[in-house]
Amino acid sequence: MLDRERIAARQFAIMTILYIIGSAILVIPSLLAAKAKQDAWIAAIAAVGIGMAFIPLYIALGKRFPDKNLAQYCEIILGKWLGKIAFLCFLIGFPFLIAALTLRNIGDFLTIGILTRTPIQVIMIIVLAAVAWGVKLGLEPIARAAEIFFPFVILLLFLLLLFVSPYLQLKNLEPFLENGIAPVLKGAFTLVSYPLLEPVVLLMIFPHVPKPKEAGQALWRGVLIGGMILFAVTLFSVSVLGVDIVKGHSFPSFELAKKINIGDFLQRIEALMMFIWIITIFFRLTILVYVISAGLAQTFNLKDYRMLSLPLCVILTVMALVIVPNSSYLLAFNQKIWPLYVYNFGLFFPLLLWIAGIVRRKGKCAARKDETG
Amino acid sequence: MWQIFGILAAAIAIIGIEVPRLRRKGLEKELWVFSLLLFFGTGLGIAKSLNLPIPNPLDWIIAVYKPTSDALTRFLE
Repeated sequence: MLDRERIAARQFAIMTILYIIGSAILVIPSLLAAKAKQDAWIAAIAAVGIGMAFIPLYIALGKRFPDKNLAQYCEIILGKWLGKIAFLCFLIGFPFLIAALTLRNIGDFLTIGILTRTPIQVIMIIVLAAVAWGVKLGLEPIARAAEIFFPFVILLLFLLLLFVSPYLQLKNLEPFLENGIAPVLKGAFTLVSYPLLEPVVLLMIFPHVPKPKEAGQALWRGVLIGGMILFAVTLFSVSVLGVDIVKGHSFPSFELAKKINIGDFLQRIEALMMFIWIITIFFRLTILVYVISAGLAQTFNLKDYRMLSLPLCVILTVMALVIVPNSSYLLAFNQKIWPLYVYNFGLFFPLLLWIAGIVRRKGKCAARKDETG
Repeated sequence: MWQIFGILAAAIAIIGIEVPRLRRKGLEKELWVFSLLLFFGTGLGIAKSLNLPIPNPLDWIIAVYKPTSDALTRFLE
């Protein structure tokens, strides 16, 4: 991007947290419980541990090219045309696909959860209208909005966990490691693939933090806190609802919110709690659409990215409807295919870029001699 | 039928929002990419509303990864 938008490291950390929580908070307990049963919470901890192992790679890339985004150093490392093609493949195969799946997620969630008689298209269009407008305003307003909404998300999450804590039953977590460590690891890799391998798309935002060192720390903090929140929600879902209910529902954390009952008086406040999911998914989508727009603009050497958000959202709406014919198809895809597919772009693509960058002496080491890159 | 009208109305609204600014600034190439994306999106939307078969990219991904996934599942079970 030619115009330098600057965001604070704190805002970057918050965006990372919201991006990681995103739609995963809805479905992760169920995906984990399907594999690791009552040990889902151990799987969540293991996954955060494994997920953190990939962050140094992302940071190394980000620091190697402190003032360039992923699209730009893709071109520097791989050469102009190969870089553009590779990045375009990445864009369509990763952020775009994730955005369509996330959009589908919120559509499914709202149509199954509360707005049962509303067509899914209507929900998607309304959500995307807000997302497109956010991207049209630019990265800085998105970051500021994230900063404003974040305390509410945390407060509501805290209240949610607090209000269901009377129902915590530790016997739901027993027997401990019933089938050994293998199912736990399988569950862990589900969570690693979604969403802990996805911060690679945040490398498009990384250079907008003025100091790369702070951006790196923000990425660490963001993924760690996001992962811990997913862990807490998984732990509470399984120990309050029991593993069978968690496995059987697509959106267990929503079932968790339905449990809230304060003195037999304050009940069914899940619609209020929905704020959490709507906000986190909104920011996840906004970040993804920003990444796609800015990436496309960079690939085609455009001066601006903002005008691409609205047409992109039109395509996204249709794709979200097309790619998931039914929910069992999505479940099978999430459990069997995505955990393999994600490594292409979440691990191998940045790894390849990093190695190629070293071999071809591009980036920070060579930057002093070759300022133009 | 009304769906197609809705999609076209949305497309016109998007053109109304973006195009005047792009033209005023004389951003030719930006206008081209924008138009291509919008044309593609509108076409997809109309195809979807007519229930025309739109290829699902997930099917391709599944076709590529299914053998590996199956082998891995057999290996782990």
